[in-house]
Amino acid sequence: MRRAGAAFLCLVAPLVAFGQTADQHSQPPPQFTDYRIPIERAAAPRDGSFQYVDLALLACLLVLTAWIVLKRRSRKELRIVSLFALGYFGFYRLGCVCSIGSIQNVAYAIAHSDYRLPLTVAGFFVLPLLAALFFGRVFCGGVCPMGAMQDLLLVKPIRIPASWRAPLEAAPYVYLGAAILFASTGSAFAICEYDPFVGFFRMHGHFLMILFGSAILAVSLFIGRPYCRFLCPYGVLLRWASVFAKYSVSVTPQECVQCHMCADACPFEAIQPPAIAKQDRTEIRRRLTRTLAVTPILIALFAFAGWRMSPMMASWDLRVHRAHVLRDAEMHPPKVKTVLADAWDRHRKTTQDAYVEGSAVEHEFAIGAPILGAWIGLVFALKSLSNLRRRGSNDYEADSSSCLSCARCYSACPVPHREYALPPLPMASIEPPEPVGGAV
Amino acid sequence: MKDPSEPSRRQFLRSAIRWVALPVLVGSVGKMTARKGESCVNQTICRTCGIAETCGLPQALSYRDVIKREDGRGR
Repeated sequence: MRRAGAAFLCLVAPLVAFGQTADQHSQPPPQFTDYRIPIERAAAPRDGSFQYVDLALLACLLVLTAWIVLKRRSRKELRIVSLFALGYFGFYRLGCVCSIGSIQNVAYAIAHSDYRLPLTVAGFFVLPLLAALFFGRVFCGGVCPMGAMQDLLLVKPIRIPASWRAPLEAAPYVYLGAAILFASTGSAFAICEYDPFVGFFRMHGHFLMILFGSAILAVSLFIGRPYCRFLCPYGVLLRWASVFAKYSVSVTPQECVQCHMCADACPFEAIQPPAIAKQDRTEIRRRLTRTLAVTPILIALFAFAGWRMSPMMASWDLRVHRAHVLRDAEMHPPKVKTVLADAWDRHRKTTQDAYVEGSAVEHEFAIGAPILGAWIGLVFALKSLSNLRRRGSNDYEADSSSCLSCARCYSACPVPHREYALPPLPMASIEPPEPVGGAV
Repeated sequence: MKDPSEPSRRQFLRSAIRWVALPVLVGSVGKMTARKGESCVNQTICRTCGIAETCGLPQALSYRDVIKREDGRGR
């Protein structure tokens, strides 16, 4: 009942946003008044000490989530934190600045030495990564408002076949590479433009993006956090960082009874089963050699494809588009001056300036697009290698890179947890073993 | 005989990478933050920015110039 209520509340936000957007776009503005289409709502930049308040709150929530997930092992408390983060960073701060979008600012700052990274953006980029280096993906578990929104809606999780999961899991890597390319060239902040949830936080947005967000939320009813697992580019960085985490989720701190209940409870398929038999080393070596031989070919092929696509990708940049339009207007002068040519003239700039600017961007894409292609080739090659990873454990364990620290597995595990001092269940199989040579 | 409390090779490597990644991450981002000059807080999108009226970045100057001209034309 409570779950249905939460799902209902979360579905109200999309409907309100959808309604407002549909109203605005359904009719053209009247021409006989000085009516103007309202400017889309965006988060106003925080000035002064409020920046530090946001950063301090982010740091506190990360530490609190880590404590709840790793020490308290409480799903209930985690949901409270998660709801607060959804309310504050989502609906109050209107989803901006967010850690996911901060990747672009960092990429832009790396490519442009004259750009100073704002402190808030730097903090939102670094703090979750630092937390992941020590405590795993606690940001995803309790602090990310987008994750919280999807998590609330999960009603009946279904499993995705492994053959579907592998290509879907490659998508965030491709998205990350493309977002970095477009941000570093200054063409677009694609992650922000195509953010499916920000329209709900602001109760306003582009019609297609609201539609896309609604579709993701609808999928979230049955598939655990589809955006986080199959799209989120920041999740890639957190995944890498959490591999080296000092502390990570351990389903049971005592002996695993291999009941499979944690794996059934995890909607993200992040619990790895025990290694049943020793893998054939010769077979592994053969597959590894084959994949390593194919990797350079894949990289070269995708890099070539990227190079071929670079003019098309560059044409999405407004500066390149402007240069093309002005060149066409110069070669075939129209009877009436175009709006773009008029605007360019008002800037007191010549057509030559537009060419120079456009060709500089095209040159950047000619370098960046093959690198993006090579990256995609490498991702596909490494994804095929991930099946070869050796598992030495004989217990059910949370995979630190894909575990989203949601704490569902704790409540599913029947083994009493020392930290929480749960009463032992009346099951002979989970009795703690007698100490060797103990007192009679 | 190996002491069980000793970290394994994998744990040692993880720990080493963690302690290398930490200063690299903080240092590089800190360096970008400490650069001189102004920084855009709204992803260079002036149209919806709350401080575009007073911002000194070139994009904002250009944006204000266009808005002023458009207002002058009565749009």
